[in-house]
Amino acid sequence: MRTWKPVASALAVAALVAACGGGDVDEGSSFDLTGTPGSLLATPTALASLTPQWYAENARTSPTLASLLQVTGAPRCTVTFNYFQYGTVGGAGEKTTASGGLMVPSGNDPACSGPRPVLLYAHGTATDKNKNMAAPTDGEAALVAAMYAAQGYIVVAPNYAGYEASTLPYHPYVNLQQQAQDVIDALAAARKGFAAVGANAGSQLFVAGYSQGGFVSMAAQRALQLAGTPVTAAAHSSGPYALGSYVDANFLGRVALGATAFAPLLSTSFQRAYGNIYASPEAMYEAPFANGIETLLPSTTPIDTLFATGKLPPTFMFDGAAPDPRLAPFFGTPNLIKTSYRQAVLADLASRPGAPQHPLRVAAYKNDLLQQNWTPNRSMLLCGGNADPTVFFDVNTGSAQTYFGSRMPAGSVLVLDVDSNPTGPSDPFAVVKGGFQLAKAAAGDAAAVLRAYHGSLVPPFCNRASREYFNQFLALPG
Amino acid sequence: MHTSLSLIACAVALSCGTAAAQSSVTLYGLADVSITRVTGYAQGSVTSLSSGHLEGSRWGLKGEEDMGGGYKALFTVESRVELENGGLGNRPESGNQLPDRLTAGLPASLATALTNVAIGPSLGVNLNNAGFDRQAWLGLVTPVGGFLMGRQYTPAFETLATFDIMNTQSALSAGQIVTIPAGVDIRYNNTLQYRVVQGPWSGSLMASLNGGASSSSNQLLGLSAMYRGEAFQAGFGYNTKNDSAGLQALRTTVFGASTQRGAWKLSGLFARIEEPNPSAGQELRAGLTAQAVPAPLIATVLDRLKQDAHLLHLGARYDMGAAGQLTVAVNRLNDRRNANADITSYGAAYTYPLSRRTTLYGVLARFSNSANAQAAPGGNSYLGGVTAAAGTDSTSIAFGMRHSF
Repeated sequence: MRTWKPVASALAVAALVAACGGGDVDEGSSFDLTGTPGSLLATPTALASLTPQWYAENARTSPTLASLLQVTGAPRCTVTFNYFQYGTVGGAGEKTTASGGLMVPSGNDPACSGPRPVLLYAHGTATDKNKNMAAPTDGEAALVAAMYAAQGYIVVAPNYAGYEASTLPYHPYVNLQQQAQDVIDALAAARKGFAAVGANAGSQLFVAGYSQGGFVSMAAQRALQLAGTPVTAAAHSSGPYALGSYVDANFLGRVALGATAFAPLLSTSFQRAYGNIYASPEAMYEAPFANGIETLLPSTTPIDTLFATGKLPPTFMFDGAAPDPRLAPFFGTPNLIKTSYRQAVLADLASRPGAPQHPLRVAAYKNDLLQQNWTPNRSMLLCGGNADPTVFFDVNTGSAQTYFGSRMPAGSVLVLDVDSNPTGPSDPFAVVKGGFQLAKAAAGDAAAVLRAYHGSLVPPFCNRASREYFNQFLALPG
Repeated sequence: MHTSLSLIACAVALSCGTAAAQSSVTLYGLADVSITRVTGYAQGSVTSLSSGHLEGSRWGLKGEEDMGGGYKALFTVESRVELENGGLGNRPESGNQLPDRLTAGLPASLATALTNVAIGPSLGVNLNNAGFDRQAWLGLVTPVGGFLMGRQYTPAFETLATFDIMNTQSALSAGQIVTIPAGVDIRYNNTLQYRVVQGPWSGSLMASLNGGASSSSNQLLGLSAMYRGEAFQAGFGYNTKNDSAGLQALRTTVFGASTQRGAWKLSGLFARIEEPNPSAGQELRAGLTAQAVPAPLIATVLDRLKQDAHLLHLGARYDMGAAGQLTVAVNRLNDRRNANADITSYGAAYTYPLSRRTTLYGVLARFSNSANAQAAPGGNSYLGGVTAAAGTDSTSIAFGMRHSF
C-alpha cells in the first residue's frame, strides 16, 4: 500500500488549499425549481428603487405623476420594486408558475422602518400578457407603489397564472378557487423572499384589489379564512362579486363596457376548468372571431390592434336590438357572441333564474362570491362608483352589501360610493368623494367620463379609501 | 551542471504523434464517429451520429526541425472535423436552452433575451469556425526549456486531462459535468508558454498577451507542475484570468494523482472552480444595458453566472491487452453556492483495439442531477448541453469507432 501515501498527501494538500481559498465568491440566489404551489422559484430580484426625492422631482415634469401624488399624498418611503416567480396551479388544478411584484418600503421615516404591514394586492383585468406588477412603468403598479408601499406597506402583487413568465397557456379568469389559491401561493412565496430583500413584515395582513382584483381579493379573504389564517381587514373595489347576476345582466343586454374582451377571457377560463362551456368555440362565437379565440387573450398584441385587425369587435357584443338606446353601441354586426348561444343562455335564465342549467350560467354561479354561503369574520370595505359602466355597482357592490350586511355584525361591512356626496362633516371619506368629483370634472364631457370611469377615475380614489380604512387597524394588535 | 532539460513537445495525452525525424512535417489525424443515444432532453431521447465522442475528430500538421545543440523548432496546426456534416464546429442537442437556474425568477422578456440572444447562441464548440481551433502554435526548444506561442491548451486543463482516467474522452470524463458554465479554459488564444522537463518532473508557465486587435479574450495566467514516476504520478495545475475590466474571473485549481499496479491503473483528481466575476460579464452587462435592462436585474444575471464549486473524480482502468480496456469512473461536482446545482456522473467505457490504429468502443454514462442541476452528457469534442428541466437526469450510451493516422 506504499503507493497510496503520496496520493493521500496530495489530496490532503488539495483539501487544505481549497479550504483556505474560500470567501470571494458570494453565495448567490437560492432556487426552488420544483414549482410546488407556494414555492419561491428564485430569490426575488430588484428592478428599481424610487426614493421620495425621485417622486418629488419627477412630479414636477410629469402631470400624471403629480395628479397621482395629489391622491396618494407625498411618498414617505423609498419603494424597491422586486420581481419574483412562484409555483401555483391552473384552472384545472394543473401545476404551473407565475410571477409578481414585491414592493418593499425603506427609509428613515418611522412609517418606513420597523415591522411593516403586508398588503396582498390583486390587479384588475389585463389584456396585456406581459402585465407586470413588478414594473414601475405599469400604471397600476405605479399607483399601488405610491399609494401603499411609499406609505410603509409591503405590497405583494401577483401577476396571476397565464401572465408574463407564467407557463400556463391561458388565464383562469375569475375562477374563484384558482384565483384565491394563485394569490395566496404568491403571498406564501413572497414571504420566503422577504428576508433576502430586506422586507421586515409585521403581523398584519391586508388584502385589496380592484375590478377583477376586487373579485380576487374577496376570494382570497374567504380562502384565508377557511384556511384558518384570516386577514386583518380587507378592501375590495369595483369587483364582479355577483358573477352569476353580472353575466346574466350582460346577456340580457346590459352589456359592460369592455365586454368583448372579458368574454373570451371568461369562456376560456371556464372551458379549461369545466370543459362544457361549448363543444367548440364556433358554438359560442361568430365565425370571424371563433378561430383562435381560446388563445387570443391575454395577448402581447395591444388590444386596440386586435380590434383594428378584426380579431375582436371593439364593442359589438350581440346582434339585434339594444334594450336601451344608451346600450346601442354594444349591438350590431359583426358581433362577437352567436345569437343562438345568447338565446340558450336567456332561455335558461328565463326558466331557471336561480337554478341554472346552462353550462355558462352554472359556471358563473359556481364562481359567484355571493353564492358561497360564506360569512366573513373580518371587516371589509366595499368601494366603487355608482355609475360604473363596466362592473355595475348595483349588481355587484349593492348585492354584496345586502348579502354580507345580513350576515356580518353591524359596522363590519362598509360600503363606499366614491361618486356620491359627503354625508356631512363627519364623513371620513369626504375628501375622497370631493377629490373624485374634481377628477370627474377634469376628465371632460359625459362620454369621456364614462370611458375613463372604471379604468382610471375610480381606482386612485378607492385605493386611497382602502388605505385609510386599513390605517385604522394598524394601531390594533394584528 | 548535471541537469538535462528537455521539452514535452506536446501536451501529455493530447494528440501527440511520433514525429521524431531530424526535420519533418507530419500530416496526422483522428476520425471518431459513434451512434449515440442520450435521454432526458426537452425533446426526449435523442439518437444521433456523433463525431468525436471518444476523441475529437481532427487533422493537423506538425513540423519539427532539429538544429542541434539542444535547439529545435516545432509547430502544430490542428483543425476540427465534424464527421457528421463536415463542419468545423458544433452546438449542443439542447440548442440555445439554458439551465433553469440561470433564467428562473427573471422577467419573461429577459429570460427570453438571455436564451435566444445574449447567452444561448454562444453555447457550442468553435462557433466562429476557426480553421485551426484545436491547436495553432510555433515553438523553440532550447537547452533550458521550450517556448511556445499561439493557441494552446492551458496548464489547468492539461492537469485535469492527465488525471482524468478517461483523459477527457467520452461522456464519462470529468470535464463533462463542468461545461455550462465552463469550469476550466481548455485552450487559450495569444498565449506564450514555457515548458520544462527534468527527469520525472515537468512544469509549465503560461501567460496570454491581450493587447492586439485580434484579441477576443482576457488576460490568463497559468502554471502546472507534474511528477511522473513509473508507478505513481501526481500533478498540480492552475489557471486564473480576469474579465475585461480587470476583475478576477474564472480561476481553476487542479490536483491529481494516479498509480499503476500490473494491469490496473487508478486515477483521481480534485479541482476547485471559482469565478467571482463572470468571465464575459462586462460584455454581457454592456449588451443588456444597451437593451435597457435595469441595472439591478443585470446584477442578478451576472450573479447567477458566478461559480464556486469543487470537482472530484475517481477512476479505474483494467488493461486486458489485446482484449481491450475497461474503465469505470465517477465524477462529482459540488456546487458551493446557494443554487446547489450538484451533479454526479458515473459509468463505464470499453475500448477494443482492432489494430494499432483502429479501435471500437462503447461508453455508458449516467448523469444524476440534483434538484437545481441539469447537465446533459456530451462527448470529447462537443457539449451535451442541458436536460429538459432542473433535476432531470440523463443517460448516454455510445457505440463507435476511432481511427487515427
